[in-house]
Amino acid sequence: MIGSGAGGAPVAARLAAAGRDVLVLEAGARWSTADFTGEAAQMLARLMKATSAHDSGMELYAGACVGGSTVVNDALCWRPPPEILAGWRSDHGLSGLTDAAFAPRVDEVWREISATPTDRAHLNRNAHCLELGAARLGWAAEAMPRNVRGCVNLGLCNLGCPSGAKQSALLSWLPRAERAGARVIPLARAERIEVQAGRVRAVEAVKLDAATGAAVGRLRVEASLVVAAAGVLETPALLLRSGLGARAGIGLQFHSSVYVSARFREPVLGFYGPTMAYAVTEFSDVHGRSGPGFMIESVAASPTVTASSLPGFGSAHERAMEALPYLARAVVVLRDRTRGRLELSRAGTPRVSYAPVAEDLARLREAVARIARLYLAAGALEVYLPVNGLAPVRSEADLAGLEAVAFAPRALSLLYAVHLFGGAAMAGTRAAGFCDESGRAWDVAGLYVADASSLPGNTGANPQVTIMANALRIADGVAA
Amino acid sequence: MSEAVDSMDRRGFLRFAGSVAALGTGALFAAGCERAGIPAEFAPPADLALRVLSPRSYATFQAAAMRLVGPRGAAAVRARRIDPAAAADAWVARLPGLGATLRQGLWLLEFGVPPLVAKWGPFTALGAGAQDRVLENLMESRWDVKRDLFKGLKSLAMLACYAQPAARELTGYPGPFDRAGIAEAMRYPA
Repeated sequence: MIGSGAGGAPVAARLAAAGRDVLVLEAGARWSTADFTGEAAQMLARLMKATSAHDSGMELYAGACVGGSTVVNDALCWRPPPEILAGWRSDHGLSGLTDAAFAPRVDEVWREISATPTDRAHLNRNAHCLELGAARLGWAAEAMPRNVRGCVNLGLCNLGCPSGAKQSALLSWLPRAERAGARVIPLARAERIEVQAGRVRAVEAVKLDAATGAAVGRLRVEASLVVAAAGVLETPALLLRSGLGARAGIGLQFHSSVYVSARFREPVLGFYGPTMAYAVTEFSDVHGRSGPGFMIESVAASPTVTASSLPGFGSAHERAMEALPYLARAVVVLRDRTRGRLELSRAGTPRVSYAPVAEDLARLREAVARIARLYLAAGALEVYLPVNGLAPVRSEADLAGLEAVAFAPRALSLLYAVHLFGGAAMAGTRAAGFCDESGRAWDVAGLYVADASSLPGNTGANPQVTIMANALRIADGVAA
Repeated sequence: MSEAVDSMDRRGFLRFAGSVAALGTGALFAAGCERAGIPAEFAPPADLALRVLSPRSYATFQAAAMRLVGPRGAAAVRARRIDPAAAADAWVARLPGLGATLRQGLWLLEFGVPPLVAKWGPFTALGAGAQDRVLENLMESRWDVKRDLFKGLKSLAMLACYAQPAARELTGYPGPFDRAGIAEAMRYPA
């Protein structure tokens, strides 16, 4: 196994339970709940990595530790949307990706990670602002299930949950895998998959220093079966470095995201409580909706990300930050139409191209305007739009100005993605993808892809459950 | 020239920018000013072991961060209660590939000249108003690569500043485990 996140960890658990000798190489360090201090500077350095698309400046974030992005996600759980699976069957020739194939695995994921409906005790004022505005505008909205047990509302889901409530792979799949005999080697970054006569033979990796991240040694693991699950920023790069580049790195697709913040008269204290818990689904195009294809989700007003996402800089920015306790925040989760590509830099590191198409930018603009309307309806005093140079909106009339604003990626204060898909995708034919619908590489015996890289496109909703269920589906095929 | 710049990718731009900036500040750079002439308020502490940034690029980042975060934040940096450049250095050290880009960008900000960077002379030697104008010019430029430089600096500076416990005085965030605050935040209106 290469990678220990939402894709790799379930596969490790399944294959170990099936009696396979499983070794998991993970580039990140291994931390425990006791290491999660809630201090942003420390946690960001320990748990996350970042890069950006060179052609749009879109910032891309992913987990960089044992457990991968499940350690730093916001714990939201959506079942795989039937519309998405139908599209993968019809447009990508993946006839086996049926609702019936996914259903039992989704149920298993649901149990394993303790996906739980979010009750009132876990909806904070930040969520209430979204709920109130949506209700006044008559928009569909709902609390979202989260994978937690005994959540105490610290507001730190995405910095490594210090209470141990969030059932990340670190607390669910990986212990299960280890109980079945799997071994996890942290700080081991896979550099190359060795292939001989069309079969995988070994994985070459470098050992990394825990403190500096510098290479301190080499490792070679001979294996007849290799499952690549290092995440969308790393799996395609690994395949490219291994000379398996045909159809690797193509077809990236994300959920583009921007934040909108709104200042209220009363304290919101949006930095406490579940980091995400409530969504406006009115504009979604999955799970039975037929909107333009975006969700609006409540998101924590943590100081770091709020500061990065508020427009402008200097005195005006600082005044907005002084109002942090009074800010409600929401994020757009856009189901992109854009496709991008991952190539290798001269240094062998991932180089991402992802320039949002005009349709996506138009829908992002619509989403931002919708959030502003919602917050104004909920009683916000002013709304901060994610466009540099744009004054806060205080009324519906102010929103008219948004139409005249160039909604280009680089005009936005922060355009980012954390939901990344593709780059080594399943497809019904060798010409169309890196692997077949069982996750098996078309051209290399013994090589599988089981993380979000293998998905042929985005999911229109927070994807961890879909990624895990797909990984189990692939693992079941391997184990059979 | 703007069309030519628009058509470049980031690496090409930085190569181009490097050439132009070197022409504008060649004598200064050739004279070995990497350490010389760094204003004390931006200079790294003597006991700080930098991993990615040089003393000069540390100072450039610190100067930019002080303008980006605003006057109260700048005062906290000046008083050494917050050190965004040190935090950025530590974080970027763990991100392969980002360090070189950051160093190039900071070098351009420090030594770049018009039309790439709207000033003459090192960024760290400018007054606050002039530094703000440089940053505004980057933020509002129609050249993608200049806006990328602004966004990269801003994201990292905000992260590096507001992630520090000492920055809580700027926002009223009580910290991660304030029981009363958590209870208040969860008091959900009927």
